[in-house]
Amino acid sequence: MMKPDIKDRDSMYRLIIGQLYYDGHKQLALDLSNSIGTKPPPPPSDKLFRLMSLVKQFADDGDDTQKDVTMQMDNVSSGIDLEFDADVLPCSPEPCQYETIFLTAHKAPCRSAAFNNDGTLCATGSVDCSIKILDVERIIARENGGDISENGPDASNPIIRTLYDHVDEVTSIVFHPREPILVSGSRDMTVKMFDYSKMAVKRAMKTIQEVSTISAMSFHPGGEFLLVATEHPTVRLYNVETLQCFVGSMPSDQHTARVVDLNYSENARLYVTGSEDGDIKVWDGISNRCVETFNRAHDGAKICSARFTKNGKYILSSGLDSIVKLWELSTNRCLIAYTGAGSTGHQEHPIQASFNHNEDFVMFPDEQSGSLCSWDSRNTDRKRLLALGHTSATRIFVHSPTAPAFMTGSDDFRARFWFKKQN
Amino acid sequence: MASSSVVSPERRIELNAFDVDAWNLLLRENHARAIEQARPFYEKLVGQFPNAGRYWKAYIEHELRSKNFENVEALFSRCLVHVLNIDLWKCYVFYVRETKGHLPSFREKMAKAYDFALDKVGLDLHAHTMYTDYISFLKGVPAVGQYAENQRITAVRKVYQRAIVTPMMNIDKIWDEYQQYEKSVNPTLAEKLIMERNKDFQISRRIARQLEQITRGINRQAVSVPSRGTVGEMKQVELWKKFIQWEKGNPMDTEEYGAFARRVIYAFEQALLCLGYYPEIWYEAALFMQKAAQELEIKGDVKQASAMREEAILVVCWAWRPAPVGSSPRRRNDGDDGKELFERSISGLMKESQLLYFAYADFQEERKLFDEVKSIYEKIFALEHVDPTLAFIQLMKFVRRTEGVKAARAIFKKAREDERSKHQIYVAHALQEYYCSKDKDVAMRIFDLGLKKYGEEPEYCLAYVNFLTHLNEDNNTRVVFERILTGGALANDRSGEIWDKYLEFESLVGDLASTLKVDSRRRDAALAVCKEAAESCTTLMLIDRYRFLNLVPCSPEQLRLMGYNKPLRAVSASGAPSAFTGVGVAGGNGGGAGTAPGPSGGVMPHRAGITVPAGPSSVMGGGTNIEITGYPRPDTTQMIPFKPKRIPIGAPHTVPGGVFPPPPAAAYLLTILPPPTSFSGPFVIVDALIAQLAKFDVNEPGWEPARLSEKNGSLGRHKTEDIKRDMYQLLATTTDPKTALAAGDHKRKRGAESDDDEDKMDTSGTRDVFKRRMNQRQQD
Repeated sequence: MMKPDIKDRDSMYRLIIGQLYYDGHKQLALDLSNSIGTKPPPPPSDKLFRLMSLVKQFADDGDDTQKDVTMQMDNVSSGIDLEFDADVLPCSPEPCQYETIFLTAHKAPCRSAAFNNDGTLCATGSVDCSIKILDVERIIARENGGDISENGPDASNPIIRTLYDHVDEVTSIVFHPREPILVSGSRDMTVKMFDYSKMAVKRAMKTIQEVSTISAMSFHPGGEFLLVATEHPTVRLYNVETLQCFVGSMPSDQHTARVVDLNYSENARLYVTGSEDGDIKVWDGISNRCVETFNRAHDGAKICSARFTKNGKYILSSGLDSIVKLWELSTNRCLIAYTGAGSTGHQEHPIQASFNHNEDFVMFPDEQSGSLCSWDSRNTDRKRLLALGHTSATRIFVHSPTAPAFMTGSDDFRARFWFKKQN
Repeated sequence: MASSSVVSPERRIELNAFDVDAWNLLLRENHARAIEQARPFYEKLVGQFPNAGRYWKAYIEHELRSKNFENVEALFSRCLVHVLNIDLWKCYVFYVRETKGHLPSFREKMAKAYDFALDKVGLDLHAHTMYTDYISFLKGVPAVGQYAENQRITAVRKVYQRAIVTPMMNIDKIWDEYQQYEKSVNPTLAEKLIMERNKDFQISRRIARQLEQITRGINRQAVSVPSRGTVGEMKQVELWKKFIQWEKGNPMDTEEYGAFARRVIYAFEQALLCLGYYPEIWYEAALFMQKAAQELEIKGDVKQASAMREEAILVVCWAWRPAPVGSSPRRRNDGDDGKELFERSISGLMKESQLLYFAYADFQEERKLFDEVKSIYEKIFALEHVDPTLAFIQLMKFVRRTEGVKAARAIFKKAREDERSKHQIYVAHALQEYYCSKDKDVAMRIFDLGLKKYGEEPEYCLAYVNFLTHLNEDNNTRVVFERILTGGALANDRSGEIWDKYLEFESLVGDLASTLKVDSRRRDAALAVCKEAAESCTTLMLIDRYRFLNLVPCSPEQLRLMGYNKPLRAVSASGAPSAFTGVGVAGGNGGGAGTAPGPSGGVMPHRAGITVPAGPSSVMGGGTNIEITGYPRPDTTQMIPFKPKRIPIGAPHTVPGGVFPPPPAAAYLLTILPPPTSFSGPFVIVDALIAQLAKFDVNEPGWEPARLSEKNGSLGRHKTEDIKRDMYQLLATTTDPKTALAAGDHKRKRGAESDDDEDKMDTSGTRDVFKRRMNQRQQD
């Protein structure tokens, strides 16, 4: 029968093109793809090579029944993994289908935001020194107009806490992985930890005095250590209990300019930092030694954000050149570049790129046009734009780790909560 | 940099049969293969996870793709009734629709299939597609003639009305469609009908929203695995329980108990699909079904009750238990559905949970089905690697209740022959004999029998001697004590408790001579075990002789000083590690006995029970949370301590931007030191002091106590001797210079003090003036 044959051949061609792409022959792959007409374009993938090596093994060993299936099984998670799911179609909603379902206004530009680990809470921080914690379930419930059988007039208000302890702009917020603790860093050179489990919380329970503006923080997934990046390029590790501070032992490991973003991987073995000196560095989470540097990762442009994928195999980074790149750690190179943002004008302020909750899409707000660019993460297909509705530059963009929702904060004093409603 | 572990999914499954991720990977792989090759894998998969709707569906779909319809039929019959997974049922309906289209009786079959499906899973939140499919199917049926048309209209109406009283998603759409339909059929009647149903619909809609909220966090696709105590799992369990509680609260306020019960049972079923290894859910479900059956009988609603039973019987006709379909109609009694639930649980996932077996047995006993009970116990015994002791004991109790003590003896004999059972059998049976037939000889003989076999188990011996003490048979008790302790079966280090009991017994019952004899023997035994410790604990042993419950002959501090660290309990309990190990407790059971008056002043050595805390219960999966703390911690020994400083001065740090922090102890000291401003003096002018000290020469002849002159051994009004004595006394008894200063102010020898003190200090300056004045006054 012709039918099954064609399908198989098509997948084989896709494998070939993907392999070429993976090995760096980008132009060749594109040309082939265009002439054969494989739609959508296959993402870079090493699958063909691996299949070949398997077959070779079989052929060489004769009828040796030792089937040594070497598949990389480590940490199979619900995220992007181009070695295995390069052909999987996205099952999550496209970013252009999200809608604003909640708006909160600060009294000054809103420059930081965060979700907690299970996506049930989010927080926004602003130049007016305040932090608001919002309950995501209440926001969604309000939207569905459901009859929540709770008492009290504020039972349905999504803003469950407002924290006022800083004296200058709140530049970075992180949630503790397990405890009800929120940590915030500010331009007033302090890192403050708030315990929001009680209703009447206003003041921080602990403060770390630093010497310059905090630019980014990341919690170790075990919850005992906190990485802090400030205006000074040295990255600090604080033990949250004792507030002792540590740095890596090699001074040449450190960046040479301000570190803009830093994030642990989910298995806590590595963390990545992106800096204004244009480099992205990958560090060992246990010894704080730098194990890899991607010099001039965005061709000398300042890095705006750097984060791991859920399985820790890739890094998603964005720079002031308005390009988003996916780096593969096993081969230490940029695997995919998502281009197209920033075409209407030069990007002035740093803004983060992010995956959606199951890493099907890559999203990046475009500053000049005020809309959200998004791509299919595997085959870099550009998706439709989503107008973000902010009247000034969007300064912070975080996507929920578990639900189709994200928060944007902007210089127009507002923070918007976007959600894809079920229908 | 590549993190690649080379463990294949097959290997992972061998290591851990419940590794869901590995199974999923294999599933994906097999998806592409031909059904012939994939079939064994699928069989294994559904064998491992028999209640996972997702896996059954994958298997069936694969067969469907290869058009193996007989296999599909077989599979459906195996899984459908049991696994009330909405997706699986949708698949079933779809299958019937597609393949039975050519049959003449297609319409009836289809309608029956739909009804069947709606009966089973119609209450699901996502059942709306099924309703809409059914309705569209019915609408599509050709109807010729008035009668057929009317029939069709009634059928459609019935389904619509059923749909709008069920809370589910998209209920609004169905309501709108219904309204349109009624209007299209008969506009005049439509208004009336719609109004009637409107209220019900509103209720359903409200409940649908609540339902959606409550179930939002629940992961319906989760597969049943034995619990590992992770936070995620606990959260799911909590959410499910919340959902079930909500259903139990009758949110729809239905008057009909039957409908309410059905909703709750459906919730339980759904929970069991995901949490099949949690016995408490099985048990609660069975309990609820039992209660529901009773309620229905009470309310006289026989029809509903039998409807529930029909359902339950279908449940048991699943191939887990190869019970022929024909046999089931026999068992039409009350609470059959509860029983079937138990059957399911113990045949399926909870084979090893004795809790459920026993609950099931009690349940059957309540309903007076004694043979069933026996067969249940048989099943437990059939499990090879499980310790049947507890089961035997339960069985003995049951048999005694129902058939009398003699029959219990037969069970005992059987238990003895079973080599897996332990000494508790003997204890239980002997006590049973004694309490029920009041025959102590039999009991003693049983204990003796057990002693031969279990003489080396201290718990057994303890139980035996406890029993004898209760009986008040002094001689027998002594004999048995001697047998145990000198028999050699019991090792010395474990006989500690027995010795303590013996001592207690003697001090209660015997005379002092025998008590002392036992005491010395006890010490010897202790000596034999731990040489060094026994030397120092002779006094401790004495204390044991004199204590009673929690009264001891010394105060707690003295006890502590002596090193007596045996806890005191107000009430006696049993089971404690031996005193001879140097820790823990010894003592006898002082509790029940208290008949004979002890020697005056004697206290009972008392066994304080330390119950070993039960380890994390495997039932609740409360093991250690390795997942949470399983992250690799940053190793601070590989890093350099750092203290950020804006302009780092002082000690240079290797890494720019800071200095070395003071060590933690010093840092702590710095935090508790008061600030510099809190010190307001005395400030020493060090140069002047040093100059003065440099000039100071003790041997200088001119140096004499300056201002006070001694006249006739008296300084002023006081005798010199008195003054000296007072001063020395004062110096000897006070350590605080401040006190000395304050008290001995006007008596002090100025010369001895003044040159050594900071005599330039302001305070002493004033004091000098004061004293000067005082002395002047005295001299006057």
